[in-house]
Amino acid sequence: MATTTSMSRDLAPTLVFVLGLTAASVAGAAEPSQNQAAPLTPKPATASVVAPSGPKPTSGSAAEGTPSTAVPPQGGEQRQVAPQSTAPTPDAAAPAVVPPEGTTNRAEGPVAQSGPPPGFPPAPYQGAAPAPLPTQLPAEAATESVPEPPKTYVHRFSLYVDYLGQWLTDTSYDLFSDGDVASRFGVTADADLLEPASGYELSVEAGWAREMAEGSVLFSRTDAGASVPSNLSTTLSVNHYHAGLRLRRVVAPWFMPHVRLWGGVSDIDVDLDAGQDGTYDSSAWRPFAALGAGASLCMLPRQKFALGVIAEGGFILQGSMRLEMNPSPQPEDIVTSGASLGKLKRSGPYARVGLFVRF
Amino acid sequence: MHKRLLGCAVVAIAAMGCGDRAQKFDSAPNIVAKVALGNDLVFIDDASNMAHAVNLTTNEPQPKARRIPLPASPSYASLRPGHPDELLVTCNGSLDQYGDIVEPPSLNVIANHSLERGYELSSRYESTVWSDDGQYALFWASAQDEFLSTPDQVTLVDLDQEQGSANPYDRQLSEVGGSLGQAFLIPPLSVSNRERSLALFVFPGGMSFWDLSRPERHEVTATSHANGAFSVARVVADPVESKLYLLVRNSTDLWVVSLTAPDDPAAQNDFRPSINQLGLGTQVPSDLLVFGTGSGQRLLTVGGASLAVVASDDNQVTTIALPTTADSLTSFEGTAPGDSTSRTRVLAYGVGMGAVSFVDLEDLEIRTTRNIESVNLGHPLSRVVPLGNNELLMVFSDAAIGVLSLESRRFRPLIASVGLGDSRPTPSEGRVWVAPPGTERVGYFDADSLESGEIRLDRPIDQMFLFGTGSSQRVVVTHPSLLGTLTYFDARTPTRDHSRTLEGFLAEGIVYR
Repeated sequence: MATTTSMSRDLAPTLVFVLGLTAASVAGAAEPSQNQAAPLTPKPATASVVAPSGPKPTSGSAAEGTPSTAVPPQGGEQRQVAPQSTAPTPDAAAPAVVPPEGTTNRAEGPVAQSGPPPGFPPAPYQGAAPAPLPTQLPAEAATESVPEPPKTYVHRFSLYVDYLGQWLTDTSYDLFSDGDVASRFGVTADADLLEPASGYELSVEAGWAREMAEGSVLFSRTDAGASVPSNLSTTLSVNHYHAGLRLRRVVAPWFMPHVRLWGGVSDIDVDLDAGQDGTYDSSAWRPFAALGAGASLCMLPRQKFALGVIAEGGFILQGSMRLEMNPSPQPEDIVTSGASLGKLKRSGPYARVGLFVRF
Repeated sequence: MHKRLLGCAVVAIAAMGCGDRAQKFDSAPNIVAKVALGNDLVFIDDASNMAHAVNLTTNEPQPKARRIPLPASPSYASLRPGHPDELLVTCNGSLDQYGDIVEPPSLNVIANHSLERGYELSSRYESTVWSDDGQYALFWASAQDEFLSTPDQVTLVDLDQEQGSANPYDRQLSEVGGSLGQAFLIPPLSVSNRERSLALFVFPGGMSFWDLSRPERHEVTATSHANGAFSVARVVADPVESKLYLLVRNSTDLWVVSLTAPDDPAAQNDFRPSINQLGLGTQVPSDLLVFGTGSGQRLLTVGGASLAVVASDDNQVTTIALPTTADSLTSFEGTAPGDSTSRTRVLAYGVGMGAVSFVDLEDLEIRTTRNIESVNLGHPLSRVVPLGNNELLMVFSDAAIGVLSLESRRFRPLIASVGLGDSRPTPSEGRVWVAPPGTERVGYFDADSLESGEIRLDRPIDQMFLFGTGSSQRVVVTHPSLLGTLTYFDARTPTRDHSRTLEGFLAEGIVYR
């Protein structure tokens, strides 16, 4: 086997993995299918080659009885270790390389798998039969003949498209809706900020949401059920601008519960249309703060663009808005003032569901 | 796992979506009465069971509406006679879906910006009559939609007393040839050496009297011999002679009821009515008034183009022809052209007529037509409004208005650009305000100089009110609107610059209700 000493760090894991696969193939070992998530650990083979994985140094804690132990080179220097000719023992289930505890599957660019991610069981030993040692294969030939190994990607950013329903049980919201849920649709982007502890990720986010509600034919019925000629129509339109922090617990690449502290300001516009009586507009900016908790389910955690769903519940605390009938008379009109209907209360619990993509 | 979480989220959102709009946002305000109470314009809203009181004499830039909760279904409101600071509101109460009473009917008194007291009524009545001094309210004519209604039941409320075991007082009347048809409250009369207030009940076959100062006593009944149903158009009391004069519909006769001591001293009541039916010799009389002369009390009636004078002591009737047709009489104390002595005189006028007659009561039975002078107005009369200082505002059904001086008998008309027949001109200190409904202009003129002006508003006029006195006097005009709109301005400076419009006051604070 030729020893490569000047291979780039990016290509090295691929090559090492390919070589490993090739060796196993030659040995007649059963290969897992591509879409199997479990066999992330390089199978122990008669010729085990381990390459450094960049920032994720592998440990050398091979299980006892491991026929071949790969010790990662220090300082990221690529090194190939010549395979031993010893055949593996049947009970050698431990991988040749075990990632350090708490290490996630994140790295700069595609890397060869260096161990099972958190939440994944170690890959079972595949029971490779004794086989002749592979002959030396050119790297180019192996690349053409062997399928691409599974890759994982570092996901630092997320984009969310979500729906948030806020429960507003105060009667003031009845002016704008028959129900008690204020619906808002929006988008949110977040970026991972740091890892405050092992298995935790802190991200920062910003987003925008739009809320609309309309109440029609208010004050339109008499006690006898008859309708009156005029009535009141209302429109509530709100633009929410928010930012926040999210602390995720990476239980598994596909399941990440979180807590979220967020807040922002709402640009609230209220229109009251009383027909012939006139129209009344009022607007206000109101800050809000919210605390929520939920979880993300990632459907394709190892793809470059990981899709998922998110669900969250919490409480939004927001200042009330005075509902004023502010007329908009013409300059020559008699000075007119309107009544105050009360305050529109905006605090209440919420539920949020959405789709996201991480990349 | 994913499906369960999604399912839970969907269920949670669906549950959060439940909830109906509050009914207070569905029902349109239904204003059953607008009453000027002190410095407040009070709107009685049947839909919200609320009285909205807007203070319109305050100097605050934006008057606020004060809400006064009322019992269910307010249906009628008026100032308490003789007590301009108290508002009487009748409420019908409420029933549940099975027709059982949830809240009983009641009579309520609003004073000092609050519901001061109330009186629960045993039934929902359709008719009410108030005594002139405001002490009594008499309810009669039970609603016919009740499961069991008693057409002859009446309820008397003494408004000077709080609600108690005998206040309100229910009475089941004895029928006189049929069910109760009318009820009147008679001003206090001295009968059998005791002053008392009486209620007069009219039945198809006669009438009965109820001594309100002794409500536990039975009413006293008197039958009539009139042909057909007995229906009274007017009742006038003569406190000096303790007599009642009744004008009966479709009858040219005058019914004189004398209240005297009973023949039987053991009778429960200490008075007894006796009825005398007098033929007047005129057309069907439509109005009457009592006046005193040096030779005793007299009664003056008018019917068509003739007057009748009845001497109270001997029921002697004198019929006098009128140069004009009249249906109403108004008395006043004042001088007349050629007579500088202030005496009691009468103006006879009729709706739709273009002329009025002045009647000097002095020796009228002797001088007859020589005591009568007619004045041509030139326009069909619609309404007469007293202005004070012995002046009457004459409102015509065409586009005219004018001031008639009762002493000089001089009439000065003003021609308007719109018909004023539906307007209710309101006199203030030396100035008369006219706000025809449906128009956008309030007119005013000085009663002495007839100097006039107007102010244009931004909305059609519904009704006009005057508040305050002197420098704080304000003119308030309501406009047709869903949630309440009014415009007010200083009566001394009626300009658009000094006017303010207030909108939506019926919905003031509706979120908190």
